[in-house]
Amino acid sequence: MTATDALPTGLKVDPVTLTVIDNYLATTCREMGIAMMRTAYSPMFNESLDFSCVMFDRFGRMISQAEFCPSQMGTIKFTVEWMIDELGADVYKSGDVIIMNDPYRGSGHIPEHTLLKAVFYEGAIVAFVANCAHLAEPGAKAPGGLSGDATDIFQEGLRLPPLWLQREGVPQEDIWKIIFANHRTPKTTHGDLMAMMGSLNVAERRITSLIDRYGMETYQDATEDLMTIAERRMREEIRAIPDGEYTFKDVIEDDGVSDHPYTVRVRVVVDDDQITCDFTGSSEQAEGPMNGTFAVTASAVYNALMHLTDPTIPRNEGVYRPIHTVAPPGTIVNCEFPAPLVGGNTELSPRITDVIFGALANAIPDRVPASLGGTSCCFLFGGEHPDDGEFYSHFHFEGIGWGGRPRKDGNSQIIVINGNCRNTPVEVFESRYPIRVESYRLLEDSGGPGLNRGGLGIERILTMQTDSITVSAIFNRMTVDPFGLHGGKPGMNSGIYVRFADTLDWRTFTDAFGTESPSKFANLTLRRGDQVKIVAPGGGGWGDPMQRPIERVKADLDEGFITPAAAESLYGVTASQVADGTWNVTPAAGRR
Amino acid sequence: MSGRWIERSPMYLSFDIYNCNYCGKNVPRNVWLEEMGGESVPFCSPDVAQIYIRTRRHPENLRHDDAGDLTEELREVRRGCAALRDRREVAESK
Amino acid sequence: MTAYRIGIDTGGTFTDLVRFDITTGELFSLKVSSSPKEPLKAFIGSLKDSDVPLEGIEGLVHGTTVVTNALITRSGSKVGFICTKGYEDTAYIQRVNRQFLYDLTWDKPTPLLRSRRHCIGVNERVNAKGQVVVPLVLAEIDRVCREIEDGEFEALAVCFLFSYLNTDHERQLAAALRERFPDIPVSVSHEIAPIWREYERSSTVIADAFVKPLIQRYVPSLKAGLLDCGFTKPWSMMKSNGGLMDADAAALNPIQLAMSGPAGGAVASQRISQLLGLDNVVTIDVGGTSADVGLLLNGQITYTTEYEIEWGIPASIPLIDIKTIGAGGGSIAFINTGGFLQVGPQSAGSVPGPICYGCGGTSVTVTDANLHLRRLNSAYFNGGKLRLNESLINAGLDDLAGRLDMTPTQLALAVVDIANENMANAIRMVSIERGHDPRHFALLAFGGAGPLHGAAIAKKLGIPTVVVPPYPGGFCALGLLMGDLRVDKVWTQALRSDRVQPDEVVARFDQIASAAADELHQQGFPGEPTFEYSINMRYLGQNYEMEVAVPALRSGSGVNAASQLCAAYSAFHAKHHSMYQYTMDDAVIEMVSFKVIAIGPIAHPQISNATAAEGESSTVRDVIFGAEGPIPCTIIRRRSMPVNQPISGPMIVEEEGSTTVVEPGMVVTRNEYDILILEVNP
Repeated sequence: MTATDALPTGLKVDPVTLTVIDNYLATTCREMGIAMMRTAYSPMFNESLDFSCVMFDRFGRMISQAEFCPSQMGTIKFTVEWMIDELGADVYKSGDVIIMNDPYRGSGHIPEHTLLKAVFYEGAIVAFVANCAHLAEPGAKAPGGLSGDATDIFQEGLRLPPLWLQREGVPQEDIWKIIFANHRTPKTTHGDLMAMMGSLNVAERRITSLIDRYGMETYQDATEDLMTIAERRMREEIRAIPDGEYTFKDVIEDDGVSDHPYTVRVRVVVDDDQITCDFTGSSEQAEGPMNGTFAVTASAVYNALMHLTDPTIPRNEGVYRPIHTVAPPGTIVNCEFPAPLVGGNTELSPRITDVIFGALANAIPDRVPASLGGTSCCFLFGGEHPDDGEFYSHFHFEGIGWGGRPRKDGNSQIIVINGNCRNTPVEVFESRYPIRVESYRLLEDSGGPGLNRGGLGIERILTMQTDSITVSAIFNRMTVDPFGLHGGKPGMNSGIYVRFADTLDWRTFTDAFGTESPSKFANLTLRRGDQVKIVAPGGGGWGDPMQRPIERVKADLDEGFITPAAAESLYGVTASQVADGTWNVTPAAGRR
Repeated sequence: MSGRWIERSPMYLSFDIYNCNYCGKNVPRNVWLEEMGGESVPFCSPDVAQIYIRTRRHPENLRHDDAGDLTEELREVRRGCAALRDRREVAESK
Repeated sequence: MTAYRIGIDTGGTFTDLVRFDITTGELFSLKVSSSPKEPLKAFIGSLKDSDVPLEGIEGLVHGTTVVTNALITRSGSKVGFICTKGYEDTAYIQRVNRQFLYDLTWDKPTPLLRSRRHCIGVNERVNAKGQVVVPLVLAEIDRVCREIEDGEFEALAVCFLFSYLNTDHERQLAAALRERFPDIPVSVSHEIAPIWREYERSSTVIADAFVKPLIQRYVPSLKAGLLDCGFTKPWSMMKSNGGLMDADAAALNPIQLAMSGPAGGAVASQRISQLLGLDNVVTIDVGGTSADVGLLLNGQITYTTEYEIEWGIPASIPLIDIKTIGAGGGSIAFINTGGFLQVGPQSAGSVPGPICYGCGGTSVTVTDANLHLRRLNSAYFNGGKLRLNESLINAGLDDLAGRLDMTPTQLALAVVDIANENMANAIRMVSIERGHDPRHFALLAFGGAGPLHGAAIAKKLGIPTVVVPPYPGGFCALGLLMGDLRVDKVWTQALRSDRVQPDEVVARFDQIASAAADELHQQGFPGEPTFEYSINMRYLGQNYEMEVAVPALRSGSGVNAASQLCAAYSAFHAKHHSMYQYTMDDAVIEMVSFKVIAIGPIAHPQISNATAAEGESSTVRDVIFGAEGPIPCTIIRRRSMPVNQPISGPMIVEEEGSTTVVEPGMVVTRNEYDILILEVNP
């Protein structure tokens, strides 16, 4: 395909102006994010950046996004569509802000609140701007919001249908009061919601300037053209994938309520310039909060395909058009009301991405990586702070190792694929919560062995510094390891363990508290001196580890990413240490 | 192919979900009913209805070995329509 | 005997020298090629070329990109990172987010450390209140020193958890290290960046250690070179915050030199803006590879603490907020994967450079486009020192234009337009991030290519006035001569507005103000410094603070401390509102850090009166400004321009080191200070 073939034709606006407007819109989304980060109260927002700012045209079609959380940017498409549909397109006035978090209306899960504002220009709506943010404390049965043993949606927090938070600039106090009365940390919620509204104002000003500069017609034509371009380029990318049907399956190991594993099965159908991910055959929905709604599943599908295609395609409505999701109602990937689902957006989402990767691993082998660690290692806690008696609650998560790639090792310690959050610095964490972090380190041998090794996971040890603290967790990949590809071995599994004060042994929570699942539980009480060990999984390996060039095995040994025992048994290399701490390596007899 | 749009009213006192018969998505407000074999089958949009018809999932296209699945498919279709009819009847009777 | 002050700005490609005659007020500038492998050569070479008698030099100021380059090219030292036990992987784990979504080929950045083995954990611990949980004992210090011996490090970086609250352990260890390893420079995190967030602080102290041996060779070698020539006086370097520091002192804290070159440009911009009475100015310095964009608000330079060496590798020291983008004369025009014309960030640099340099360049660059449009004079580039070859560019332009179905002229116009748009975008981010409307600003354009693009950029942004200072090509070097000696002292402690004792605040301010004054005196400043005070504040619950200037809080000043603090709180509310359109009036305000800047003013060159040189008349040549094709345009040498006489465009003002474009419909005036002022929409 020559460069001239790649030139878009049939567009209304010239290419230079289109580039300018596309960059301007994406920059605006980034600026919304900066405003949010600087003014929000929760470390979830000002450190972890667990929110997304997206812009839509006057019909509710997405026109721009930036480097936020992929899962939120996928579900927000459905959230905003629903909000506009349910309320109607003509009820908005300038200065209105609508809030919604109902997963059965398109949100990823209850903690993710979306604020929506219509942007007016000369009396008419020209755009919608939205901010979707994960409030750590949404009034759920467990402090921190993710209740590992929830059995229905009502236990997962205050569920809000589309409501006016502000009408024509006037705060709707009754709504705010209901929200504050149902959240454990209302001051934090207040500060966070104000920050979200501030970010929407930033976008409003920018869009107005853009139309001032280019005029309404060019603005509207340009946003349409950008959708056309994105659609065309995604279709080209799909055409480049060999036609056919590809299947794969993987497992969600349990659901916090029962011991039951759940299968996620996908049939990826590539048909010329369209692709369908059909989840028919997946297990029936789970009893515990591991379900996903249609929006969560579709969002994970978009995420998988965007990772396997050209990352420079503009992200707007057009890019989603050639991608279809089929998720039968009543299955784990499209649960029915009132099923619990808070873990779906963090745990099921990467599993869906992984099965699509697995399915396409042989169709486009030069692009697909092995499984990533595939869990957010969600650890939730809350209680009364011993210093001032104020209630605190937090959703703590970890990065994981990513899978070995066709041409390189996987990255170590990166947030799960459906997010783009940062970790909370220990100095911020300990300043806010009565917990000490004893250590936080990369875990050797956690990367799945392969020609290209999986990235490493971590181990973090926490000591409680308060007489009483309530903890919950939702982890995955504890009993089912992240898979390798093309002969690569699985990555090391995750874990969460407890060691009571003045004892020596680490125990699983099932062993210590009798929870149904060692990886999913809610509302257990820990005391001063009790310790929790969090292990984040590594990524799967890609390719046969016995083929890994011996210098790269040596480099891994030198850096302490693998131990000599692993070098011998998994990579077929004998190692002996040298005085300066590095290693000499030779192929082990008969292994390579 | 022929069909029509209907609008479901958002009922806050209960929560009925209308699932698209092809993709399973829950539809917020405007449901497309496609006339197929004398039945009104719900979809999230006419485009998606066309995809359903074009792919092997549509009963008319399943003329070979998957006859066994055909029965199940038809049952699914009828279930969807029945549910829709029930809800509309309930709404109309109020 | 004539007395001079000299500023020498060493960049990657060129070294600029500005010579200021203190008696006559005359300024002179020259540009030589840099010699990155032997820095002394260009440094002393430029001095010699300037014909300055060395005994006549009263002051010498040096700005350099040597630190930035070492950081970007990763050519620094073997650093040993000493940290709290359990946190050895801080520099490897980083912040866990991704630079690019959807790009599976993206690699997480590697730290400036050479190996994970070079991270040594120390058994000590301080908690979030600054209380010692595990004391640092002598036996442990001994153990750590033995490990360091084995490591054969060239520099050491120390960062313990919560050291910004309790400096004892870092001090203890640093003292021991400096005693036992006198030849290994030690960088200590609470000395360099007393801020929270352990990854950012670790990254900063590692970066400092990474370049310390280099600077500790660089500065003495320049000093020796100067001594050889007979220059024995003390000389200074410009820090990244625009203040000057004695060169020897600069070597103790080299990360402060990370923005040393561009800082000169910012300082000069501030002085010129003051001269013209302009409060709000956007500055743009366009060179061969990159453009640096800065902002002056209410006449003040803006600062940031979020400098990134590369994405994910921060250096969190306060420095002049300059945004650098890959847009310059050498930026390459090409067709990207989407089929769109893109310009930069890849650059042809100076070698092979633009096609018209004739050094083997084959990619069309912005300079080539400007030459095709006749905006550059092939015979007078860099004062005639570099001849541009017009015939060479046709092949490249024809080929690229053909692939885009454009004529070469349409292509050249598009290339320049896209480059201008990229620069305008950078300006939008810098002004818009603070909620400011560029239409209320003036644009100060300098660097070799800044005045060439300034008018068009201003038009895109609705900026009404463009200012082109004298010596735009060597403006950063001029800025070196306009800096003052400066010491910043910060004290970090969280205090709440509902619980604070104002007297406590005043006492602390007194303490750090006198420490700052002492340091200034040590650096040779004899008199009484001036002070600036500020407090970093946020609403209790937020994580990010804003710096708010406050009037001096001093004991014995007769001023009521409590009401001064109230005024500070009002200023904070107002600033918050201007940026985010809301305030939380009843919320408690948290004060996070307190800063005093002590300034030892130095006599600056006054820009002297301009005169129109005789004997050179203007010429006319056809220049392309838009789709209508070539139109006759006046070409004039800057020094021949009449003073205080508005002239209508189109016009091109040429001088050694830069070219200024005045588009049709605009009006330019050369004022009495030899500053060109363009009105975009007269």
